[in-house]
Amino acid sequence: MNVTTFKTLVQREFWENKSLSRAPVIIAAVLLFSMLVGMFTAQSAIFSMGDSQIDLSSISDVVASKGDAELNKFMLAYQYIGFLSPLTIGLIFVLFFYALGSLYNERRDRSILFWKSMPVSDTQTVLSKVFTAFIVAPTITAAVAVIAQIVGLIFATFMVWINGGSAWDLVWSNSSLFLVIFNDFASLIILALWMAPILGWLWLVSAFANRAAFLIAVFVPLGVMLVEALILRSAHFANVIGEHFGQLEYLGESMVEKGHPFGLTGQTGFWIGLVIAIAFIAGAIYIRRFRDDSY
Amino acid sequence: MSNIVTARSLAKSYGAFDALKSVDFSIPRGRIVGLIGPNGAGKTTVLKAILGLTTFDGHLDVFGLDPQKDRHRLMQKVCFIADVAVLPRWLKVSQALDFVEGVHPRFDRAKAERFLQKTKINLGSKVGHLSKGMVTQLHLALVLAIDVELLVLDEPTLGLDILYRKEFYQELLSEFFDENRSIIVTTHQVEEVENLLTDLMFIKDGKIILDSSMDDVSERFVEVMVNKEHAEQALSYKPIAQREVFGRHVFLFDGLDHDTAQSLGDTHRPSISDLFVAKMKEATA
Repeated sequence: MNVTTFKTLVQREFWENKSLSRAPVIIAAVLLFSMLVGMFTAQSAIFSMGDSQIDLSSISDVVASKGDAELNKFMLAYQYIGFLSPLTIGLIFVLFFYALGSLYNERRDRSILFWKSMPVSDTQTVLSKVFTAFIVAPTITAAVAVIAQIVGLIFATFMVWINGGSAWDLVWSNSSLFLVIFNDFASLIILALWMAPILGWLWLVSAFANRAAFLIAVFVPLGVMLVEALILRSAHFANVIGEHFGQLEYLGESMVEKGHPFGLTGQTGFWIGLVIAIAFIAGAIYIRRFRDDSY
Repeated sequence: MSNIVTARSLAKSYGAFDALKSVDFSIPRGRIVGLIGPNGAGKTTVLKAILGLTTFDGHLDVFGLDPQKDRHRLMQKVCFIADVAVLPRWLKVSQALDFVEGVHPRFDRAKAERFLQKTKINLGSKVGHLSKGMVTQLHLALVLAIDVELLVLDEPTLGLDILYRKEFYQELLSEFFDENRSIIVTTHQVEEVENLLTDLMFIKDGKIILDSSMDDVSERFVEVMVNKEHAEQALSYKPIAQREVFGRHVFLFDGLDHDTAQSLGDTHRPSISDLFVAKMKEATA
């Protein structure tokens, strides 16, 4: 596969889908703003109450002498829950709508005929979208997360300084910054891969649907559950989907408890999901090749 | 002369509807072929098959490739502007240039920028903010800067005002066409392309009812303006069409020899639109 062509195709995805970069930036801005508000509130409510000012310097000394595992864990949890989790949820939505639109919008506005007049195969085109979803989008979100976390640490530094503590002891030495940065990137890429069967389904619908892609994408699975419940009196399909969503907890849990996000990749369901995704994506490529109604 | 497109028993059906009923044709290098037919005649199906946008039955060879399998390789040598194609609204003009430059090995960016300089199109504009005429100009600038051997144009001037339309075909002739390249064009505005075409193909109900070079058309078909007294005689030569203009009869003949025609009255080459109407009626009868 030609590298320049592929790079251009990915760039095109980036141009078209501003939400890949805008959504995480907006979420991060909101998070940092609320952190600032929280800090001002805390400063006025706790630290500056009349005579009984709390002096952080004494705590700093204690932490510095003992080395605080609890503080370390708190910092990790704050960086994940305060910043990474909201961005992760944002990424789930961004990827959902990105995949759903990526083979549908080009047919609706008929620009598919322009794309198809170029010497690019349908496989290359679809794979550029797959690459964008699994690698580019998580990487952008992770980069935003890292920046937000560092700005957050800087905010905390000022807070500690104002109250006379040692920012190094209380913030930076317990921030596990490099681990956090690694986990931001790794966990978001794993998250996107965890979404693979869902995204694959969305790509298939996106290549197939003539209208109301969103409704088809959502109601066909619900319909399958309903039919299964009515006819077979069972809920296997619903269980499979429920289990897949349930696996998401391994991602956050393993990061806080074990320090890495690979708890999810140890699940069989994760890998079965990837195989299903490949089948869906192959179907999407096949449909895009000979879609007749676009012209 | 080498053919760049060869179709043998090319057919396509949508369910019970036969859009194309086993047609044969070929398109040589260095020709401008007008593919003309009423709506639903199969024009678009022919184009789609050539461009690898649809499946078909029979045999079709374009530059030695099977369009069904090798569309992306074919597009190195073929480019097209479809009647319903639009550039996406979110695309910036500069991004359009970047994109084609990135994916097409035969794109000459400097050439495209020269075309654009002649227009009012701003490199920073989004397609969504351009007028329809400007979007077509942009599309044309991109396509003409690609060194392809076959250009397929489906109603390229649809919805454009007359200024843009004239300019469009002028650019096409001066910038693109030469003896190594071919153009296939479909249009309802037959008069516009009349003097451009080297070949004519009429299609009706999935069948090709005329496939001929313009030179042969001039040889074969003649329109004669006949005075009333010769009308009876003219009718005996079985004209394929007749109409009345200012009290004189105008007959269109297929294959009437030159001398006989001249003996009947003033002769001239029929316009494509008159010929088209006559052939369509003939095919129905």
